[in-house]
Amino acid sequence: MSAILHDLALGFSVALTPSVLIYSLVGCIVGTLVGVLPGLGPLAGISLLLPMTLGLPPTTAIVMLAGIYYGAMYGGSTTSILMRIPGESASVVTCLDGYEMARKGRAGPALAIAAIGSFVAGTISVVALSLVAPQIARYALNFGPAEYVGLLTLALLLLAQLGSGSKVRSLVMSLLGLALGMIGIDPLTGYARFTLGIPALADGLGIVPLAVGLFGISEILLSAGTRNVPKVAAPRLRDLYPSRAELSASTMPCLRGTVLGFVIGLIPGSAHIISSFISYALERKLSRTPERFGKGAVEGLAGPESANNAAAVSAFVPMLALGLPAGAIPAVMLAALMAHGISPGPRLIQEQPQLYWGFVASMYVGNLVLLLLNLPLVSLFVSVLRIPYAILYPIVTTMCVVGVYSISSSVTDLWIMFAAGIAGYFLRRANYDVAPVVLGFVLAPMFEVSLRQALTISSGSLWIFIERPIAATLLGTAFVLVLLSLWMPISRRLELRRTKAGD
Amino acid sequence: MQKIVTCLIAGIAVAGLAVTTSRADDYPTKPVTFIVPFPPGGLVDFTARPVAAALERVWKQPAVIANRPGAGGGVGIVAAGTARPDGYTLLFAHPSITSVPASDVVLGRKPSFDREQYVPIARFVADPLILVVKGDSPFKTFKDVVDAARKEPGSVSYSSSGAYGAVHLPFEMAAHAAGVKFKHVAYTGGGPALTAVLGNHVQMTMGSPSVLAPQIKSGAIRPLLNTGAKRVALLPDVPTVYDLGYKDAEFYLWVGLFGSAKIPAETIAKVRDGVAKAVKDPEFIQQLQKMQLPVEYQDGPDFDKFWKADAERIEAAIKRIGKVE
Repeated sequence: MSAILHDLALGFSVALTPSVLIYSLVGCIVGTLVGVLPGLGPLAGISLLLPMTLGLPPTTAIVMLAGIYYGAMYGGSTTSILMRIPGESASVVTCLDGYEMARKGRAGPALAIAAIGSFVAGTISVVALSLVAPQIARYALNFGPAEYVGLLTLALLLLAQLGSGSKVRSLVMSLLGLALGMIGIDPLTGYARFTLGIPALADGLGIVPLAVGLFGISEILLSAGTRNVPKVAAPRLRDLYPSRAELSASTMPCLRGTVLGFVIGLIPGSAHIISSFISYALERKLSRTPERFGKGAVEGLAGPESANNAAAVSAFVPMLALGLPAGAIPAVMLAALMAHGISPGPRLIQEQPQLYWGFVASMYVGNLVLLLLNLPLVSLFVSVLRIPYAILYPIVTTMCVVGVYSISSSVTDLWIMFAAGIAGYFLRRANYDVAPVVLGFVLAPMFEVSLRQALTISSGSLWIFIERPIAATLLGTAFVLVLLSLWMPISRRLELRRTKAGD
Repeated sequence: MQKIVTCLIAGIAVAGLAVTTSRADDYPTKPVTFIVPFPPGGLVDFTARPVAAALERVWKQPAVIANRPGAGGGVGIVAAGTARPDGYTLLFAHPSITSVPASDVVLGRKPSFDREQYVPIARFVADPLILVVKGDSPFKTFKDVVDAARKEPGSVSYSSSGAYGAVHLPFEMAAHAAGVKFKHVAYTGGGPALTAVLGNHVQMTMGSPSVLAPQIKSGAIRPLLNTGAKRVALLPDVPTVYDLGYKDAEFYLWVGLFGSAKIPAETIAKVRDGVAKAVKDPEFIQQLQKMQLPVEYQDGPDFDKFWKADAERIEAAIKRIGKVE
């Protein structure tokens, strides 16, 4: 313990050096801006800004990149709450109840809870990371394709929980998402599937243009069709921040989300993007009033936001402890280190203690900075809603176009965004929820690749899912869930019959 | 009226000036764009940036990096081929310029480009790949791997960065040269492929010396084979495919500069001159040293010879692989 305190002291001595601190601040501010710009998420943000950090000393560069990363995570929830425009797949869930809160005049509390939840989750996760990272990282590597299949099966079952309307409609939308996720070159065989011969579709549809279109553009189109413009009065200071009831309703979801997100984020690969979805489904299951979800339930905002940020921190564990680029964002960060002549490996902690602990300490500092940065901004962001639609929406649309185009300078992405927007408009007018489309879209390639990898490894034998304890447990849980959902209606009917017979 | 005429004459004169200045002997007179067909932060991007920065100092003209990722490099390569062939749009590429169209052919697709549409200008780096197994693996040498695979075909598995990619191809070449079959498990990138070896899900993978060296030094993984003709400074004990008599498995992850074949030869010669100066730039050398990427510079004609031989090996390997599954 004292060794860790000593290491952390070293870290803070690095992180609080004026030059490092300034770049950490700059990173947080730039990240917040990137996150607030619709369509630009954390991955696009740090890849685009990576070349600019090449001239800095390595610790400073990595601290700044990390600042951009979690700054974008914080900022991403702002557009989700205010305008229903997700910056990346994780903030899709934030759109569900966060935006509904904003429509009910609770935009300020929603933004504040997102910031506080992110801060709590981020800080707890950094503490957990500094205490246990090296020990658990190696164990997490056991999570291979078979285990992924188990986890994703569970996630697919939770899809039906996501919509606010009928389960059948949610499932139809999930299937649509799964189908859209199949577009592009199959990474395992190289075949191009459903690309219609368009080279730009070879890598599949982008998650950002799809989500921005389905959520943001469709919302703009929908409000253009309505006459009654909601009046947002100048908020009183009291209404800017969450009420005591809202805060206490958020506490447990926030803590549960933190634990869930931290554990899922440890899994190498891109499992962290499903943490917010799973947290949302969990909160809805645990809630005594699940019908409030999707209509502005504060628990449906606090849980996923916390899970998302906890996972964002623990996704660094394989990178820091083992030097492994286990996900897309750590891969970019590792690349940045390599450009600075540091080859990250399992001995990064021993060989570069000031870098390692400076980075960890900068995450404590960064989270605090972002909380202090975001809370005062709440009133500014909320006043954006007072801009008349006729002025606000053209600006927002332009920003969506700029943001989506800047990711890979592709005009095709813009067409995808607008097509998704129009499709989203009609689907939502017909009362179909679009959130399951995005989750299905995210899960489809992950599930398919893992399943086929697992079966290649086992030479086609299904035993691999039973021999491996974690995979078996996850699949067993999924099986029990299916049985329960089948049994519930039957048992209800039996009970009904019994009470009738009793009459 | 007279004013208009003067303006017109002045305009024509300026236009004429513009025509003369864009002649090859003055190249470059305006910013040069370098297409990197991958996202920022990869091997090609990291090689291209110091080269472009050095060229900027040589030419006294801005050198702009444009990342155009997509389709394994295909999107950016096509963009460079269809840009105006005036030498102001050039391309950084790696072996996917050969493997993308070749795998298109095998899969029955119309290739989106042909490698004949590009002329090689210079090669900057050419790292071999290192075959590695987990640190506690029973395989101590590449011969152990080959023996095990011969005893029970398909019993030794490897993870690749994706079908027909820069790990799949050298593994197919090595297996072919040794006369054995390995079990291929495709992952979605080199990072996940290495993670799969460390998590004990597959037995081997390949990667660049600079990426794998720290993992090797810590004992997490063990190197068995170098796919190059000569040993690498970072890992001098690892035998090469030449040492072991598998020279058909020679493979490099090289990065080179290309231009559209329609660019006038004089302009290409100008670019080659500029590059020859740029690779002597101390800042360029220092930056590549920092990334532990040895400079393996080759000028146009030498690079052309190297590229042709490399392409023949890759195309033969892809034909042998055929359709995956």
